[in-house]
Amino acid sequence: MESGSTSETRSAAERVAPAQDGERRRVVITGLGAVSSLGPTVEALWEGLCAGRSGISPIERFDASGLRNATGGEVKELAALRLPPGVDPADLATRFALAAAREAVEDAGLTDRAGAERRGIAFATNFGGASLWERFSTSLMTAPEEADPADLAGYAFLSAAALAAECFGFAGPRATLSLSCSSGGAAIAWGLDTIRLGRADVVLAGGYDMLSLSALAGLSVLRTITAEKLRPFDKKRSGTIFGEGAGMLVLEEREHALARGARIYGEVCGAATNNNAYHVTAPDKRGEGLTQVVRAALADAAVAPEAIDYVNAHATGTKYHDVVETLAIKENLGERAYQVPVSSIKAATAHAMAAAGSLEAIACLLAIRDGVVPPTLNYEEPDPECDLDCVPNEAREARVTCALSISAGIGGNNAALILRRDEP
Amino acid sequence: MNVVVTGIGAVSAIGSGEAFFEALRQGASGITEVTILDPGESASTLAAEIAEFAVEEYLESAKTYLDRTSAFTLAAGALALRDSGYSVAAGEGLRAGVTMGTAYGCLGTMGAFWEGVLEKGPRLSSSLLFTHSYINTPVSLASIEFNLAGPHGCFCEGAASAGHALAEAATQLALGRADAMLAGGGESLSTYLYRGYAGMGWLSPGEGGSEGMRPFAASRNGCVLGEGAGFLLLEREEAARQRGARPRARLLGVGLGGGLAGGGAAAAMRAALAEAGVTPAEVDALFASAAGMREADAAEAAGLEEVFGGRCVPVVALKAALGETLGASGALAALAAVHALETGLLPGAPNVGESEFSLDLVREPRTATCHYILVNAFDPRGGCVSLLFGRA
Repeated sequence: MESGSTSETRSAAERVAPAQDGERRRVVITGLGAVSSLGPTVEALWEGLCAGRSGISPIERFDASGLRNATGGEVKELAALRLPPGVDPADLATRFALAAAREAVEDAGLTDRAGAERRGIAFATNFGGASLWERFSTSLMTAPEEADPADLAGYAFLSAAALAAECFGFAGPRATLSLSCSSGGAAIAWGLDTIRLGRADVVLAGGYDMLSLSALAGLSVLRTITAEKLRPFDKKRSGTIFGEGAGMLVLEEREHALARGARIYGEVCGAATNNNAYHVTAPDKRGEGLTQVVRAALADAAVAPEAIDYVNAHATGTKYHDVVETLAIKENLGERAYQVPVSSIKAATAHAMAAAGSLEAIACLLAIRDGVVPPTLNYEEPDPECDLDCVPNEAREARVTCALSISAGIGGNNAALILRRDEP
Repeated sequence: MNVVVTGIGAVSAIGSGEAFFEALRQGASGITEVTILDPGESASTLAAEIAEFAVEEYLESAKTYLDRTSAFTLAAGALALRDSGYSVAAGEGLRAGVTMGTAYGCLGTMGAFWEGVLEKGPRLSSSLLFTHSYINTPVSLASIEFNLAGPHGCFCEGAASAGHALAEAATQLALGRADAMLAGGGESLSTYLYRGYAGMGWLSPGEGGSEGMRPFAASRNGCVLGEGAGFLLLEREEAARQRGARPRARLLGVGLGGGLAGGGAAAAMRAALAEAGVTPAEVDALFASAAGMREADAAEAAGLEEVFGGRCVPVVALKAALGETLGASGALAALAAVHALETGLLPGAPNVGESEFSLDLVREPRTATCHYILVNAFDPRGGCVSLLFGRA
């Protein structure tokens, strides 16, 4: 492919210092795919978000009665998942990933398998093929002779990306990442750099995870889960509720997308990841890590804080996180923090773990497309420590040109993305 | 891309720290009968295990609990930082980050946690074990232990994982987002991993023959699993110079390829060479990813043939001595390559047997002047990463 051979002949120095020659390869999003508790498609996700619906309901797939909260953002319409033809993975998380990936690849119109080696994959997951891990380890503990070794192979974190590469003929760079609940953002960040540096022209990037008893049991004893409702930014908030699904985005070098006349949702113009370097589970109450990751993403995008007109917050509804994130937003946006909508979709989708960051990036792009900002649900009582405009309970019309999406997770991992309306 | 290596640290079955390099000089193998886990009914009984390990010897503060992979990770990270004379005070690490690779992370702790859930019910399960069971726990602990608050990454692409971690670290440095990056990988043996691999037929003796780790050999019949961790401190050259650090080698090029079976091997190697501006003819040695797997080794050999043509480049098969350490393997190979650029030592491949391919496989440790070394980190089911290192 032409763009490939051009970039390959450029020297390393030229490729890694693109800002100076003004020829930095820009990256746009040309395809979206989503599986969430609001439904098995992007349309279902966006329609649910705009209507102010929540996908949180009693968990039906396994016995959740022993957990602190027996509800979750469970995907109910499993039969409606559109898997790529010819694959039938045993693990549900993998099915979410592949169904969302198919929607994204078809949406981008990249089903032709041309230029396969210039198309890469960056998937992220917190728990991999979790259902197979549970089955395999339980068998080894109770009846080793019944353990199916294919379960360990299917659990392996690289499995879904390997299947996707085969299904869609994406034979370029391939990575699987895992950075707890900042995973989805981190996968997009990796795709952005990979395309910028000329290592690929297209990267299918996103996160996926499923609800499992093993993960929920642990998240329950960590006391991150509320016994009642998930209420981001609300004074009565008492914890999060977890969910599942997958969010997939087709990232594409802008000239490559324009040349083939692809529809462009927006540009991903900056990203950053970091770690609080503070504590495994406790939030750094000064918010230093989150503040810095947003600062780094803005710098990477060469976007001024004043340009941000929507913030999609990670806000999980836990006591400290929402305060810390509010601080980080104020620290970066200054007075402007009070003028822009800052919403969290967690009360609608539930906290979809590795899928969260990529589902939220999709929400940002659709907010840019439609001029509608999704609301923060279950909001009743203002908290003076979370005093930004969280778009309570109802979607709002607002022109969005440049959105900031924030993710954070256990281990102190943070990620931030800057998504902008596409302009020449 | 002006990225230098200023420190290396290895924890492995043949030895850790300085002992690792001494063992490479001696041509030692870490493969023995496995003792730290029960292989069950499997026909496989070998592993490259670290039978005795005390993380306290490497760290300044005591830990209440560490998963085996986390312990190896912190130890190797501490060794690399010490080697480079680099340290960061708490709260001052914004320009220093950490990336690592691990294929299965903390499987032993995950199992212990899940066992508790099954026995006692979810309400009484252990929050301590759960916290230490995440696949990204080791890298996050490294960030906390060493105050590395900059760019962060955890790659779980099987045996290519550490290759990705090093590539990502180099990318972050080249883009100016950090001055220093600790990068590497870690993996530990567990009953789950061993029995799963054995059951899949991925462990020697697989379908039959004698058990052993024989990369590229005609008689190869699967891998022998190993464990350990390897870390490298990468720095922007200018930042290293400013603090008076001695560069040990340069990371000149990163190559990312797709599936090993689908041409990813040659694509990754070519991309690394192109990014470095180095021709195949200039490469003095290749550190292969081969682990004795029938198809994967053949795919890597075909990739070598494609990239190097008829040229006989010395091929080091480090896994013959260290076992298949999965997420750690790419980092252990990379730091052995750095050592080779400094000292000329090309490690041997003990007990490897007759090769099926026309390769200049390094059987006994040998000395050769090296200016450029290509390191492969490929996974049989996953992606391919190649890294080109050059002399400082």
